[in-house]
Amino acid sequence: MLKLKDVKKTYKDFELDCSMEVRPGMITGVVGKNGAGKTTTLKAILGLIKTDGGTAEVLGKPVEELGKAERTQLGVVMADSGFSGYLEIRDLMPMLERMYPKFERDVFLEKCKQFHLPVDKKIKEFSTGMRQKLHVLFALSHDARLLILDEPTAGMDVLARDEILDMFREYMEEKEDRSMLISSHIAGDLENLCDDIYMIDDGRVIFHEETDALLGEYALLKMTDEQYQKLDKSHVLRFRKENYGYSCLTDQKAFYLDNYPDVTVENNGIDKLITMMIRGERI
Amino acid sequence: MMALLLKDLALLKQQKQFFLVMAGLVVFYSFFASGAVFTFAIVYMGIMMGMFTLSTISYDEYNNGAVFLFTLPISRREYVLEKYMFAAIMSAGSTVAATAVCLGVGYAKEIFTNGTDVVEFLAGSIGGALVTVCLMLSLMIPLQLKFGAEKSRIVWIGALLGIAAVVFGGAKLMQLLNVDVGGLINGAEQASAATVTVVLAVLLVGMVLVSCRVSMGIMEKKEF
Repeated sequence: MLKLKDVKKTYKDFELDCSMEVRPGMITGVVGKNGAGKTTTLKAILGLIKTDGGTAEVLGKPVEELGKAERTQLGVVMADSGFSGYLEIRDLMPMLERMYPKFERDVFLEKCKQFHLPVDKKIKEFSTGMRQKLHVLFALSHDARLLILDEPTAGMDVLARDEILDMFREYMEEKEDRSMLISSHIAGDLENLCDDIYMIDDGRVIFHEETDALLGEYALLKMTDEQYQKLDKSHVLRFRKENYGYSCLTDQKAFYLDNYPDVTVENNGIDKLITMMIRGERI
Repeated sequence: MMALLLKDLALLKQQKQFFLVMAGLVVFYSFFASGAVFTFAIVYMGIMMGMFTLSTISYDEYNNGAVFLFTLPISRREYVLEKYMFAAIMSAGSTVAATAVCLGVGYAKEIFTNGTDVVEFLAGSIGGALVTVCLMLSLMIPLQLKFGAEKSRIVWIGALLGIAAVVFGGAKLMQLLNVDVGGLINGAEQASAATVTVVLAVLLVGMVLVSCRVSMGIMEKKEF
């Protein structure tokens, strides 16, 4: 569905070098701190920037060759961009009906009503959350096969976020061949939604794992200095010096549970994983 | 392309009050005007409506909107073509409407007394609008696409100075080469209206095509 191989993009103070894949029927998440390269990666996928090397394929075609037919099968939300703020939702209808053969006008307008989005108000007068809702509803409105979503829940309150995440799940369940690539700084959104997760830091993929494995097999070990000295570190991915001793990230939770009953083993959330992968040291 | 035209028409609708005031002014002045002011009103309306194309580019880019726009099923080439098409529709539409108003008032006030008056008036006003709009937009659309709304104004002033320098320099060069400039102008004046029209039309079409091609090149290279 989507494949990046050694895609490179060099700016004055930033370099992207990224490989990733989104398989049919899968929801793939991208996490990373601000400025890590998430948006640049999505822009490369969408052909919004010209890459300096590598290959990017979307829906089986090189990005440079994406035509109208392929683009109508994409549903896109960008973090800091959207429909012109000078337009109203009702102004968008004729345009979207022309652009997307499968645009469901009535369903879209009904959803707008459900999410309290006024159709006769300029979009620039919407709050950040309202704008994001509008773009999410649009991305889901035309039977897109591949959703590319950059921070789609940014600016939304907790209830709206839950509703939107449920809509994503329903959308994916409707048809088997739909896929989704989603970036978010809210790790909880991705934990409960994604099949696999990529972590990007300084323009590079530093981690890729199935979410089930991530939540089931990864753990944070907390121990004293003495326990750390005796620890078998062959399954430790990262460690950090703490005021109580050490914390270590492992992908073999069961091994440490069985062999080091005195060490505290905490189940990992993605937030802790990000912190350890980025700030922790390699053995 | 139709989808983009519909979008720009929707943007135009948002500015309807401004354009209604403009149209009202044209109608108002036409009641107190002579033929020369009619011509000014028609050219002015053509320019104003054509220039709205530049505003639509600004609206597209407002708040980083171009990034999202180019994720939609439109090509960059199609975007550029649509802008030129929109400019043509706006300028032609407003020129025709303003001309109709001025003709109506002109007949009612008996400013136009015979067919020759009307032909001269139409040639002056429509020709003036066409030349001015084509010249301005052929330069300003690529500049705006390349530099954005703010910077393009500065570059536009620079471009005008550059054109003036080229014209002045060209005249000086012709003098140095002993080319009879006066003779050339006299020749142009003596040429038939049809010849002048054809030469002018070819020049304008060529200029618009070159401008369109340059704009496409700018958009193809642009990163968002």
